[in-house]
Amino acid sequence: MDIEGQVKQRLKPKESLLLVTETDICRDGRFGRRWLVVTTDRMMTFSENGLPTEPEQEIPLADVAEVKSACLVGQTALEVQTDTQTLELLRCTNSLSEKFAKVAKALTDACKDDKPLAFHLEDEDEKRVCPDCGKLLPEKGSFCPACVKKHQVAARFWKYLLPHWRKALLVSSSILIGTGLQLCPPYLIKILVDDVLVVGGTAMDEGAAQLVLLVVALAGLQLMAALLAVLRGRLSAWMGSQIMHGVRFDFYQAVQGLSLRRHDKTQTGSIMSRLTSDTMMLNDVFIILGFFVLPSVLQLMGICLILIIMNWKLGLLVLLPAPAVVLLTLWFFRRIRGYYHRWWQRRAKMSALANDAIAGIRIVKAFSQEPEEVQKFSVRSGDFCEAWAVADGMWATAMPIISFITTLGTYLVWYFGGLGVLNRPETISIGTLMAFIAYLGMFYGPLQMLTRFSDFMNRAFTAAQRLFEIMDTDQEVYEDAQAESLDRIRGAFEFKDVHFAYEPDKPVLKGVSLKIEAGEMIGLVGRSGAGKTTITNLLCRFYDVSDGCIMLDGVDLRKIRLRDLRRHVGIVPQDCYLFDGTVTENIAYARPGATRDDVIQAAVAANAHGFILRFPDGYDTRVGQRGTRLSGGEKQRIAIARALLNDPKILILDEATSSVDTETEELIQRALKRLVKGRTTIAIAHRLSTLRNADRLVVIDEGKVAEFGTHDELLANKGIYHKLVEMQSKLSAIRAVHG
Amino acid sequence: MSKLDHQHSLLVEQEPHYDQLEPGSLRFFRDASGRFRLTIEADRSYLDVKAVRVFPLTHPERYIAFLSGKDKVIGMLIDTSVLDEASQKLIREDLERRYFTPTIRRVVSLREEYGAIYSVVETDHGEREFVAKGIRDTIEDLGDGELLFADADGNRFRIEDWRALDVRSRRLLERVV
Repeated sequence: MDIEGQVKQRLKPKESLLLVTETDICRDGRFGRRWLVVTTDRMMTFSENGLPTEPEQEIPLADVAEVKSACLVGQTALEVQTDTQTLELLRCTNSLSEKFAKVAKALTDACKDDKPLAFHLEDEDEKRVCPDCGKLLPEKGSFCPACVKKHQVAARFWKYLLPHWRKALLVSSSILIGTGLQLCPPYLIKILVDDVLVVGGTAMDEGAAQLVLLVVALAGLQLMAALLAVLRGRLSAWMGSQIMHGVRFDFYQAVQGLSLRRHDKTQTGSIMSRLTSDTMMLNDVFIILGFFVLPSVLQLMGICLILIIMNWKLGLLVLLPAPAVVLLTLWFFRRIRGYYHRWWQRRAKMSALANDAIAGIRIVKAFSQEPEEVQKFSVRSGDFCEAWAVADGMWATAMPIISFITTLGTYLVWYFGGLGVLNRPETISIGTLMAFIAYLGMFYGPLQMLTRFSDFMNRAFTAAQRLFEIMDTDQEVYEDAQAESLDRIRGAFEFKDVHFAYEPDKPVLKGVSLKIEAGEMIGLVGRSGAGKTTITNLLCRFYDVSDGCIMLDGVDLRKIRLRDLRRHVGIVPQDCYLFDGTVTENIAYARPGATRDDVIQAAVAANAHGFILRFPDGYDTRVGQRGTRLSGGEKQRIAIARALLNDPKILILDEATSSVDTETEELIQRALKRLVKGRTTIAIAHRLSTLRNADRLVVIDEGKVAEFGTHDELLANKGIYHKLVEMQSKLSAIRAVHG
Repeated sequence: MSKLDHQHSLLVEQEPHYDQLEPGSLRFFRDASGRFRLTIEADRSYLDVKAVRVFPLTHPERYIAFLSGKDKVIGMLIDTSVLDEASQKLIREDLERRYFTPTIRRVVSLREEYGAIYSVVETDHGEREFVAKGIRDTIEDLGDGELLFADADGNRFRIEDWRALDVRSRRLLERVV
């Protein structure tokens, strides 16, 4: 019975129903249905069993001081704080935590601030379940892969094939003709045996002439078939590589467009192996498809037709084992597919481990862990080995058995066909029997080819699946269709109750509200892990807020074109990654068309000009992975120059001076002092002295703004900032003594 | 004794038990308003105490740390079984509430389609249907047959030893492990 109707019957006069919502954990901690009901007077919980009778809990709204949603590990608890005690109202899994966080907020707002109680909940189920097939969605509010796949995969290959349709047509017709040609020789043999060889004697000359004609025809057919095969092969190879080029291009574009959230989770090695080996696999499949599979299918169909026309009884004998072969093959490949997948995964894991250890070889050597790393690798390599052995072992066992079963038909034909020739030559001639045997030879070849083909298709489908998986991953930070283009900005920011979590159950920002004026320099201060870098990540929209919003010049960030937003932002990140290339290329990264003057100006502004000039190759010095090693301070100054090149309105400095000595910091400081003019600057620093130019300081603590004001205001406050300043001045006093 | 050894021993003397608590001095209880409290030697008392696992995956029953309501570290116990029954019960309750990781007893169905995993499992908390993104992001192999699943919403499921499950579950899991 409808829960809402039942609850309504229980209401007191003047009481009205505000919310009926379901949770997925029962009171005893088991999965199940349970309801929270809120009326104008009270809140209640009902469980499925207790539904028609009494509520499990009942709390008058008047007693409620606060409702909190406590994030636990793997679940969320809704707790009610009354004047005298804390009660647990209900629990829900992470699937519903967002909904109940909103419920808690609405209740607290109503009880604390006397706001009218109202709930604005989206239907959770609508976001979690596919409206077409009812399956759970792998990503909330996203598409359903089960519904998308059918038409999409087919359409996808068409999309890549379409530009080459002329050549595709040529390939198909060459396949068609080639197969037709292949089918002729056995029939010619039948004529040769029955009409020329067996009849023999009577007219020697006529017979010899026919013989020559037939032999020449046989040879001619084979030659034409060979030439067609060459044409087909060359065209398939060309098209295969062209199509792979298209797939690779789209894949790489998707990789570049992937959200950072996704990149955080995906190992580089796994993307690399998809890019190289999976696309190769698709290429192979394409060639195999064009070269072997389609001709095989056509050949099979043609042979079936001819056999049945020639002698249907014998024809059926040939086909007898075919269903068994097909079924066995299908069953076998369904099983082996998983093993190949496992093998692929273990290979990816193995290379990821090697990648990791080689990238971190300095640390490995510094702690002399080489033998341990070798040991770890050996374990992974062994796993990989084992997976391969299992998969190939299954393959090696099943294939000969399937092959044997396919030959059963031959014995049947020899026996029954032979009986026919011996006893009733009028029904079956020697020529027909020989043609049959010849066709048989051609029949089982393609059938086995097709069984092998299913293996290739299996590998191809897993490969395609992995490629499409990345391509299908929605870019988490997406652009609004009506996104505004921003040519000029002032650079005023406003955070309105911003919540954010990298992992759903670990909130980092818990309601940050902040107003930053245009052209202001703001220093972000706080413990590590307090959420400072997260704030800058959100400003650049590397991630989207979970709740609340960020406004730039009064416009929601999500309504601004990403390119425009990032054009106005210059960022000097914590880890200054330089690409493999020259100093000039690295500085001009944001604008490859920048003039040499622009580059030099940016370098001068970043106080990098001096040290660059001291390199023998000057601005042409190669840096990055295979280039000159730069010190932390040098890298940082190049990164600053890179950030400045576009003359951004907004400058983000994330620990821009953390890894440099005091003297270099002084240099960078001087550079920064010039740079922050006219720009909105957000600077993160542990060394508070770095922030002495800041107009205002924000202290972030526990994911919230703890203090906000000028240096003097915060000192007078005697809060967290005051404590930090005291601590650091003590530290520098120590340094002064020891230094 | 070399200088190094001397320094080393000094360090050990200063912090002999890092932040291990003295079990005898602890009293866990719920106060009148139902809040979880910890009193140490009758000289310090903490409100809204949280029991957290130091190694939630590898040693869930040993190494229990305690945080105050403001998430400050109070200390740690390697073995809580030395405490009195009532305290143990309170700690167990709090741990069970905080760590909701149902243990999978049987895999009813598990299909992998286009990078997503659809599964129905029977756990010690009842049956549950879930969906997760690709194998790599979903299943963590903790070694010794122990597996940890994370679904699309961040819910977690544990399998103690997948090799010890029934044949059907094993066969389903074999394809993804």
